[in-house]
Amino acid sequence: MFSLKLGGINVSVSDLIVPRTKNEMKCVFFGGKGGVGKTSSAASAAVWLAERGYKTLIVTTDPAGNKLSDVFEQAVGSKVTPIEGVNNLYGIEIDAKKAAEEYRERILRPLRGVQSEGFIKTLEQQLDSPCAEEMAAFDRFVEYVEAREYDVIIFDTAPTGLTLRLLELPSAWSNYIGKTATLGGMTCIGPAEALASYKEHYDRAIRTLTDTKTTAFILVLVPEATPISETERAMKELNVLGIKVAGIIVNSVITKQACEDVPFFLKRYEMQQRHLDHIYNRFNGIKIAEAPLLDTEVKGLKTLSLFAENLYEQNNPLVKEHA
Amino acid sequence: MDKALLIPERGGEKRIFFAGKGGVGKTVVAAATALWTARKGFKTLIISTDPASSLSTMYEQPIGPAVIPIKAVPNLYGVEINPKKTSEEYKERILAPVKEVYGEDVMQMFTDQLDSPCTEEMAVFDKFIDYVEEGNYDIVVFDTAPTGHTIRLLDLPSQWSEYIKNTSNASGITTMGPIESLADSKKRYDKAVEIMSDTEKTTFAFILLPEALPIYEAERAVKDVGEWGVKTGLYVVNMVLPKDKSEKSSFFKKRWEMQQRYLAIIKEKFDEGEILYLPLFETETKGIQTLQKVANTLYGG
Repeated sequence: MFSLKLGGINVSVSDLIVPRTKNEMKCVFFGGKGGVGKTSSAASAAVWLAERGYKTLIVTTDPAGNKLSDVFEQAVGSKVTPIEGVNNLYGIEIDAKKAAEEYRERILRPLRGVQSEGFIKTLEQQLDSPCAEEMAAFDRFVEYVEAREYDVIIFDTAPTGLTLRLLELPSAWSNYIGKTATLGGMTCIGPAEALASYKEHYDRAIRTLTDTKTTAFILVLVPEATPISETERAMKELNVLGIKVAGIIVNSVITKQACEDVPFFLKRYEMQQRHLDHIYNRFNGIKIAEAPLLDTEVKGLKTLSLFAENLYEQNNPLVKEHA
Repeated sequence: MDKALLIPERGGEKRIFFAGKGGVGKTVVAAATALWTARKGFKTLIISTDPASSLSTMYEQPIGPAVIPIKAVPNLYGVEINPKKTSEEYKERILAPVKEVYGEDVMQMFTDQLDSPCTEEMAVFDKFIDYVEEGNYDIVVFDTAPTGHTIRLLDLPSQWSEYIKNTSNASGITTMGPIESLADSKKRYDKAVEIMSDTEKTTFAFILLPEALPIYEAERAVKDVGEWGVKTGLYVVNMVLPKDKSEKSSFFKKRWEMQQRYLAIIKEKFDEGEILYLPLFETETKGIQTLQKVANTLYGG
């Protein structure tokens, strides 16, 4: 990146993804809506880091479980798998649906038999949402972070502010369960305590995410109106939780050369440039890197490496062009 | 194309929902569709939930939370729903009857439950129900659509009634009031799902781009609403590179070829609905004239 711009000055943003010292690790989260290029950005960062000697793990969540296999063009499963062709690089695909089921079961198990079926059903419902998949995936991620086996861990699905708030949910229930137990005369100190322990879990996750020394939160977007306002909104939600967004990657940026003087494409180029100006204005103070639209799909080690060079090296031609 | 996807049967009403990810062009296509039906003489209402007030940008006039006629187009009316405000109102309405009976901690549980990323979607859909039932328009166009998960979550309040019954047995509190009011929500919800799954009254349209991930996500979303009996009758593939322009640049020629591969996949995967294509425009798509162009490209004159 990592040529990024900070207050209009080009800076290198590779420091966002590289650990500060030899003994420290780094967690990098890539957030943003589906289809903007999160996986490309994350996978190329992983390749770039591994090529430079950092032991790197890339974690993705995918209900179909083939995002990483697709991008690396080799089988990557739900267990940590070394990526062939690059030393130091490991990948894992979390099956979000399965993880969500396990997460749900773990939370509900202590309550079964103690609480009424209607109540359990309500909680089940609550935990059965797209957010539960994100929560569960994030929950797994925390495990990898705490195992400390890698120099860098990259996550291609960052939790949203709202997902994080949901993580606090089980601990909110614990308070409530204490009260109904008195009403119905049931003993449920066990379950209440089990739920209360999630509070600690949640606090730990937030601590990891807010530690800017070891964690970088990067949002990916394309230079268009709706994605810009959505990014702004996502950032606000994270800020409420004390999480600062360290960098922004603007993906699919049309280069002037690519237009080859065709007026149609030049107009699109100019339109994007206007949105880019907007992005630099709105997200002033945050490192911003531009990734060019390529004439191929961003997959396979060779293309990922090329994509990373554009994105994470200082000599980003796009940034020069813009400056 | 099959005009029955947009136009109601004689004397009937039609609702058209546009689903798809942010940034794929839902509001543009919805605004163009509403313009087209209004100009065909159907009294049309367009409802937008985009927080960036893009409907105002589309029609180049202010549009707010109250229904307002679009000046330049007879038969066309617009309204913009604020999702944040709507979800506050929704929460308040759902919780009010429960509040009468329960203490703060139980209330907190219900409040937490309603305070999820999906609440805004739920609240917006709940608001849709008002317009779905209203019956003042021939056609109502929505620039967003509930997902399968939203529909499932909307059933939540009715699940509470069971819970309320259980605890009231244990504690001896009278809870008829809240239970009845929750039962009303249930009725309202059932009616909405019924309308949504009636292909004569409702067209569910999906907007996507000719790229790998969007196709995959569309497939998943379509399957998801399908579980509720909602059939996707129309697909709009947006930002298709025009061949003649792309041929002039070696870079875009490659991208064009890539898109063609995905277009073939789209045809194969979504063979049950009608597929329409919208080319990439060289300028930002807004303003009545441009929208008319979009509509003509999609639906013909």
